[in-house]
Amino acid sequence: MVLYDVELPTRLMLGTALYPSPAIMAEAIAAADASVVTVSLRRETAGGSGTSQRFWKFLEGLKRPLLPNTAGCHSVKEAVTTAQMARELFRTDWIELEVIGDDDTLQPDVFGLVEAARILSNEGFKVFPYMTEDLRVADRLLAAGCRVLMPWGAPIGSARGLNNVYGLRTLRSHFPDVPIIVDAGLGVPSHAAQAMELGCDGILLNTAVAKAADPVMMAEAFSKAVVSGRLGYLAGALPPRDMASPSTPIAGKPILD
Amino acid sequence: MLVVINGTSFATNAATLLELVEERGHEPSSIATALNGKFVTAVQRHKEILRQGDAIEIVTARQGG
Repeated sequence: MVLYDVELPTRLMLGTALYPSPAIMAEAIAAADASVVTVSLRRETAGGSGTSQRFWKFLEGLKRPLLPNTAGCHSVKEAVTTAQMARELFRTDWIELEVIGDDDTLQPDVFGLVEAARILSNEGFKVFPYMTEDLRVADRLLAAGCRVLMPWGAPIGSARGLNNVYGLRTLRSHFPDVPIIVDAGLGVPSHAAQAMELGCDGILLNTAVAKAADPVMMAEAFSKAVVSGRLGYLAGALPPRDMASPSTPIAGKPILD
Repeated sequence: MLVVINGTSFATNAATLLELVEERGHEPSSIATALNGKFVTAVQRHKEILRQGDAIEIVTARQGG
């Protein structure tokens, strides 16, 4: 998978939040074979907390590309400023752009998203927009400079899977050459496989792995689901039909009545 | 002089944002800063003169999804 001219070895991107411990997080990232790891930035205490110092060492040890996010930002200004700080802090021009429009669903504010994407793209950022599957929004984001689309599967952390399969299929069909990463809302590996079978290029997830009873095993399960779904897409699936079609040939069946 | 750092008021003798960062013992490359809602790069911190009531944000890396 190539995102912003960077070839990534796998199609699974994994977040770093909500794990029971740093050790389990490290094991989960390895088990997922995550090609990219997402991070955020938050207020620091005076003198620098031990937590942040340990996290910096953890990130350095991962040796994987980092994708900082603007999680929790509700306005264009807030998101743009957060992205600017993230670029300096993490030394990357990649940014997962979140402009949240509703606190209950964490639905993206697509109007603010497009505006922020335009500002950041003009400043040289490589924007990964957390978006709905709306075609016109996708058009506007691409015009704003985005070269990746990141539609939600369902509300962040909801584990609902793909709420709008039709919308994702339509998005894939309308933008066949743009990488599509399903970001958020997945709960079980079959959700990831389904997205990949639709032709999506990759998956970004966090909570489904981090909050599983066994995050490491779940990370491995998602990794395999992503690979399986991709193979299923490339293999060309049989279209569904309403009526049965016998798999065993009728010809040559003995007449016994 | 009183300034607001990450939402809490503090008294400081720092004249610039750089001095404030040093006064609070931060590793400069492990943080990013904003002054009154505007991003300030690390190399610009020495040029930002602090004033009474300024709102400063000092952030670092955290887990995120």
